[in-house]
Amino acid sequence: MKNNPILIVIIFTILAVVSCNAPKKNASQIQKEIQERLINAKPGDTISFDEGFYEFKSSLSLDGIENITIKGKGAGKTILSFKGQTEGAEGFMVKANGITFEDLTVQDTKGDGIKVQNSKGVTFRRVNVRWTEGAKASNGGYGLYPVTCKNVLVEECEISEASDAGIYIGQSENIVVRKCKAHDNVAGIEIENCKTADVYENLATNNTGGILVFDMPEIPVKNGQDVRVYNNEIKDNNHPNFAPEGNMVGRVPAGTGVLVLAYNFVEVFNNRISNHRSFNASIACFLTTGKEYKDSLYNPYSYGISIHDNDFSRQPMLPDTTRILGKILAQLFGLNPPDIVWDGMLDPAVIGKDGVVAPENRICIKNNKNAKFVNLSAQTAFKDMTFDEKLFDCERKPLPGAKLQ
Amino acid sequence: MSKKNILRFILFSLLIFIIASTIKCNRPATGPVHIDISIPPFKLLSEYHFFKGKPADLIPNDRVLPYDLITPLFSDYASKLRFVWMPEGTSAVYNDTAVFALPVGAVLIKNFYYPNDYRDLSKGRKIMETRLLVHKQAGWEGFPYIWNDEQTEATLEVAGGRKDISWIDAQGETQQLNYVIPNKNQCKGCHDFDSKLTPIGPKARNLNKEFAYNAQPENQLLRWASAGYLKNCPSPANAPKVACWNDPKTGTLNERARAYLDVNCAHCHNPHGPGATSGLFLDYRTSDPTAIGICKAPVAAGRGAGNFTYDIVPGDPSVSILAFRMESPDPGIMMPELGRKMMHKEGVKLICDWIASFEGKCK
Repeated sequence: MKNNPILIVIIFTILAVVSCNAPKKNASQIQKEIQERLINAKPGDTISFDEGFYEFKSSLSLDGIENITIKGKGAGKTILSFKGQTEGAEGFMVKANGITFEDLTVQDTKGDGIKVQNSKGVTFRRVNVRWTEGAKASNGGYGLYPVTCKNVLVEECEISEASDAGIYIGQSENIVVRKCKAHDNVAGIEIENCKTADVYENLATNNTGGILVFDMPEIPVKNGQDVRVYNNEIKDNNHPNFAPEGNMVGRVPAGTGVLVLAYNFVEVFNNRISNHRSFNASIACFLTTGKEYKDSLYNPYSYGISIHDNDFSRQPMLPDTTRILGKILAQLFGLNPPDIVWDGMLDPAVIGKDGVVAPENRICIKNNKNAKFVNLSAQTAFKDMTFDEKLFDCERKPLPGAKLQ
Repeated sequence: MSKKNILRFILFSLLIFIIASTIKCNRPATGPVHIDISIPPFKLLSEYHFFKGKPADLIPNDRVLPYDLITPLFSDYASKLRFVWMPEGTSAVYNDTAVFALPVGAVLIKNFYYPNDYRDLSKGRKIMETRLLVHKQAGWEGFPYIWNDEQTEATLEVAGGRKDISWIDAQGETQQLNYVIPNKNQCKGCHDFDSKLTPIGPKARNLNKEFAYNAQPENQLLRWASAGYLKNCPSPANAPKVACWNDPKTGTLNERARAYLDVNCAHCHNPHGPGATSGLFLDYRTSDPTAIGICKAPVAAGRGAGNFTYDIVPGDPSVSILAFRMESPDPGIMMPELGRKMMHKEGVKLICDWIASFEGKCK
C-alpha cells in the first residue's frame, strides 16, 4: 500500500466506530455474569451494579460466602427488573452470613423480592422493592424476606405493592426495622414469630394493615416475644385487601393501623396512628380469627402488651365489612369503632390466684392522646364489653430492645 | 536433504504438532478415573475419565458403578443415568434411614437426557447435562456440566444455563421445553441438610432394587457391598424398601404417595431442610397429620396458597394447596421451587387420589 494518510485515518475511524458499537451484553449474558460473580465471590467482596436497568429472567442466588455486599448506585438509579421471570421464585435467594444489600431497586419478581434464610448478620439499606403494575394479588408475596435469621437491620428502604407484606421478618432474632417507607402493600411491616425486634421511625401508609406483630402456630419457631413499635407514623392504611385468599394476612380488614396477634411482650408507644377504617390499634388472640390449629406448643394469647403515649386520631368511617373482624366492629360501633380494640381474651395461665395478673403480663393502656378504648370481651360474646380504661392503667418494665451489631 | 529443506521440514512438523495438540477430538478415555479434590473442577467432563469410548454412550469406566432409584425425582420428564465412584479402599457405611455417608473423594454423577422418542428408545437420545456431586475435604460441592449439541463433550458452567429441547413422549405427543440447567448455588437449594450440601438419592430404601448390570440383574445393595462401596450391609430382605410410586403392586396408595412426596419434596420439607420454616414435613417418617399438611394453614406461602386455606383438605384435592402448587407452572407458586418447569401429570394424579382418599373435615 502506498503511504496514504487519508486512508489510514479512515481505517482508524472505522475501527473506532465499530468498537464503540460493539454489541451490548444481552440479558442472559448479564444473568450469567452476575450469577458467576455470586458463585465465585470471595468473602468480603462487593458486587457492584452501575446505574442502569438490568433485566433478569431467573432468580439470583448467593450461598455460603460471608460478608458479601451487593450494591448499586442508588435505588432510583440501579433497577434490577425481574419482569417476565421464568425460573426461581425470588429475585435474590441468599443463605450467607454478613450479607448487605444497598442502594438498588428490585422489582416485579414472580415471588418474593429478596429472601435471606438461615443467615447471621443481614442488612438492607436504601433498598427498594416494588411491583410496577400496581397492587395485585398476582404480585410476589414479600418484598424483603429475612427468615430464620439473626441480627437483621432494615433501614431507609421503601417497599410497595407486595401481595402479603412489604417488609416481613419471620422466625428471626434481634431485628431493627427503621426509617423505612411501606406503602400500598397488604401488610406494610410484619414481624412474625420473632424474638426481640425494634420497629421505629418508619412510615406505614396506604397499606391494608400498617404494622402487624403476629405469632402463628404450626411453624418451627414459635411464641415470639419482645417487640417494640415506636416513633412511627402509621396513617391511612385503608387499602382494600388484595392478598390471595388463603393467607392469614388475607383476613386483615382494610383500615388496620397496628395489630398485635397472639404475641407476648410488645410495647407500642410514641407513634402517630391515624385514620384507619377498622381499628387504629388492636390486640387479639389467635382464636378470634376463627382459624383452627393443632399445635400443642403454641400459645394463642396476647399478653404483656403495653400501648402508651401514642397520638391517635380518626374520622368517622365504616370498618371493612368484607372481613369478619371489620364486620363485627361495624355491627357493634357503626362508623365510630374505638381506636384501641382488645378482644378481651386473656391467657388463663397468666391469671394468678385471686385473679391478679403479674405486671409484665398485663395489658396496659396509658397516656394515649385522643384514644377511645374497648375491651370487646369476645369470650362472653361481647356481653361484658366495657370501655373502662382504668383497669388497664398500668406500666410495664420497658423492654430492653434489639442491639445493633 | 538440503539444510533449507530440513529446516522447512522441522518447522512444518512443529506447526502440525502445535495444531494437533490444540484440536479437540473424540479421544477415548485413557486410563482410570482421574479426579483431584484439592484442585478446582475440570472444565470438561471428559477429563475425569468417568466414561470410556464415545462420551455420549456413557459407558462407565472401571469402578464407576451405575445405579437407579425405585422412586425417582421428577425433572420435567428427563431420564437419568446415575453413577457413583469412590476412591480405592474407601466406602460408605450402611444405615437404614438416612442417605449413605459417602467417603471423602466420592463422586455422584447424574446425567439428564431425553430419548428422542419415548416409544422407541432405539431412536437415540440427547444428553442435556451432567451434575457432579463431589465430596471434597471440607464438604460436598456440586458442579453442573452442560453437553454440547454435537454430544461430544460437556463443559462446566457454574452459572447453569438453558437449552431448548423437544422429544416425543410416551403418548406420541411432541413436547417442547426451554430446559433449565441449575447453577452451582442452586444445587444446595435442594441438597441441603442443616445448611450443609448433602446428597439425596443413595438411601437404602430407594436403592433396594435390582439393576441389570450385565444380562443378570442383581440387587444394588448387594452389588455396592461386593464392589467395596458399602460396609455392614444386611441382606436386601432385611433392608427397607420404598414403594414404587407408579406401580400399584409395590404398595398401597398411601405408601406410594408418601414415597413420591419423600423423593420429590422432603429434601426441603423436612425439619433439617430449606423448607423447614414452613412446618410442613413430607418426609416418610413424619406421621403427625398436621405436619403432613392435613388442615394445616400455610405460613408464608404468599400467593402460592392460591385462594385456598389448607395444605391438604381431606377428600378434596381441588382446594388443597399441596395439589395446587404441584400443578402450577408459575415460578412464584410452583413446587418444587427449583428443578422443574412442567407439571408432572402422573405424579399430580397420584397425590390428588391420595388426598381424595382422606376422610374427615377441617373446620
